[in-house]
Amino acid sequence: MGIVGDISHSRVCGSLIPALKIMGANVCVIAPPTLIPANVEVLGADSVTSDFDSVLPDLDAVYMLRVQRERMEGAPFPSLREYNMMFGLTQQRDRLMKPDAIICHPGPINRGVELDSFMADHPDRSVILDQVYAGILVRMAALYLLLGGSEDGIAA
Amino acid sequence: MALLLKNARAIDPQVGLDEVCDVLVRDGRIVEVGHDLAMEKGETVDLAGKVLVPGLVDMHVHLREPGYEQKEDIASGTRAAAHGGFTAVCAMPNTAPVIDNAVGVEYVKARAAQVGKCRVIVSGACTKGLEGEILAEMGDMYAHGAKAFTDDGHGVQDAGMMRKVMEYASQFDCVVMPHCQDDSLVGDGQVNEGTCSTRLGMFGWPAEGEELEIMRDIALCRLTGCPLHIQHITTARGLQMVREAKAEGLPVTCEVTPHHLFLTEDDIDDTYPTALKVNPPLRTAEDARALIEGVADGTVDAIVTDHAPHTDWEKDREFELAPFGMIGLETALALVLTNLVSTGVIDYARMVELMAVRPRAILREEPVQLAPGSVADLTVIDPDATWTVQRADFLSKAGNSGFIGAELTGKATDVYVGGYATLTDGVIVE
Ligand SMILES: [Zn+2]
Repeated sequence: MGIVGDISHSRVCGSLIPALKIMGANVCVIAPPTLIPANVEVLGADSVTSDFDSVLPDLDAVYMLRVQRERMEGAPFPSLREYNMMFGLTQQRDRLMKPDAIICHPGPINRGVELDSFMADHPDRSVILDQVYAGILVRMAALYLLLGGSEDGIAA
Repeated sequence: MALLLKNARAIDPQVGLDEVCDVLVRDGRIVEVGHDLAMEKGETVDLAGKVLVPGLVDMHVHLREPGYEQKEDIASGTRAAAHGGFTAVCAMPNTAPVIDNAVGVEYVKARAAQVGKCRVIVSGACTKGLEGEILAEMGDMYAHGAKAFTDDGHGVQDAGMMRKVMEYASQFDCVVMPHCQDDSLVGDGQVNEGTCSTRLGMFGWPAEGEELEIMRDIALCRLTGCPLHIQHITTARGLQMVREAKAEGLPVTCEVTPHHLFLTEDDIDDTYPTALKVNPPLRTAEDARALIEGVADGTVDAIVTDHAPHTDWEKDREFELAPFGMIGLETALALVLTNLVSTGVIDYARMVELMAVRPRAILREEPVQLAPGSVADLTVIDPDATWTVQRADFLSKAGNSGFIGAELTGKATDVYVGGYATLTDGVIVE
């Protein structure tokens, strides 16, 4: 599993990587060095790289993170254009991916930055809407339990 | 096309070669190095009495194109380079427009291919417009062939920005090359702060203005892991910091110019010679001695010219108004041979390391060796030629050399780039 994008500011990563490790995944973190936290091994990832294309052919799942559209003064990369060229999941990168590799994203997507529409809406690869639906169910369950629901889901 | 270079003393420390022998070149590459070589047909050149070395590389040159073609352009600058014995130069990005995107990189490459007389290695800016605020598109430039990144001429003032530059660049296989100058300390400094600035009554450019940034950038190298190449180092303490960084195992290299080795602040007399106004400024005799020591002991990786051409009308002004910089492509080799090799401070092998081997390695260029398989970028030197530096002999558009009138021994006579002659008997091959 590859996680691509702003690792250093991502709250997603803090829970996603440990969860993936529990599920037995091998996790690779992919980002420009300016978006990788100082001690990335603390997060539990198995490997780190800034060379997306070199690892993309090995990934079963590509988890794209949202890029902050902040002002460019002091930004961690030169331009959204260059970010898209180097770390965006573009249509051209489709041929580098395993035939059955899937695409995840926590939403909302910056189309044309971290994900091209071709990839975001890819009928076979994109599971982003499934993630959204699963997210609703998980939230419902969490709220139910926090509000006093019992463990087997039957009201006390 | 075949070329047989006979009877030169061939010197290349990379392959432990220093003997009189023949070198056979075919289709741009060396095919054989040995004795009594012969070939069916092609050109044979007798180089008896000459020295043959891997082609020299000047990794710090201002070709001024695009934007400042009245000072120099790629055609004239690369002719000056070939005339001085160089087979490749690295062009600095402080042109107009600044080379801070792939379009600029491609422009310089295309012009060099059309009108150049040597290879031109392109460096890109670290920050957009050299303004120190927004990262330049280093990834795109790298993909288009930029080999190093530098904000030469300015330096990146903000430490946080420099950290970002180095961190971002660390994903590519290339060096970041800082011009170390803390503007808040240097201000309008004209000459070295101390005796010289006091004697001439001009604003001082303190050694600390350079040393603080060297210290900062070495610290950032440690933090980011980005290979660091300190440009035109001038002070004893700055060099000591590099020495210690190397001992620590950090990927730090540095370069010096002939003018900082062979001229000092004492040469700036009360005629206010603007040719000696350079940035960083000429330092003390003690600093120059320390730099020469560094050249000899291996602390200094490369000798570069920082060839900085200006028009006469720009330099023929009051000292404070004249721009910084001097040219150097056509004098560097002879200055090194005369002042360092002839005097025994270094030998030819070390000269080759400083002016060919290490610059290529630092710029991640393919090595050039006097061995079969290598690209035939070659420099032939007449070690006994004595000559006087004269403005009229320069092929550079500019004449702002600090060495006019100097009596030198040793000169490049022939230069080959990819097996093709660019200089023959001291004359450019057009
Ligand atoms: Zn400089």
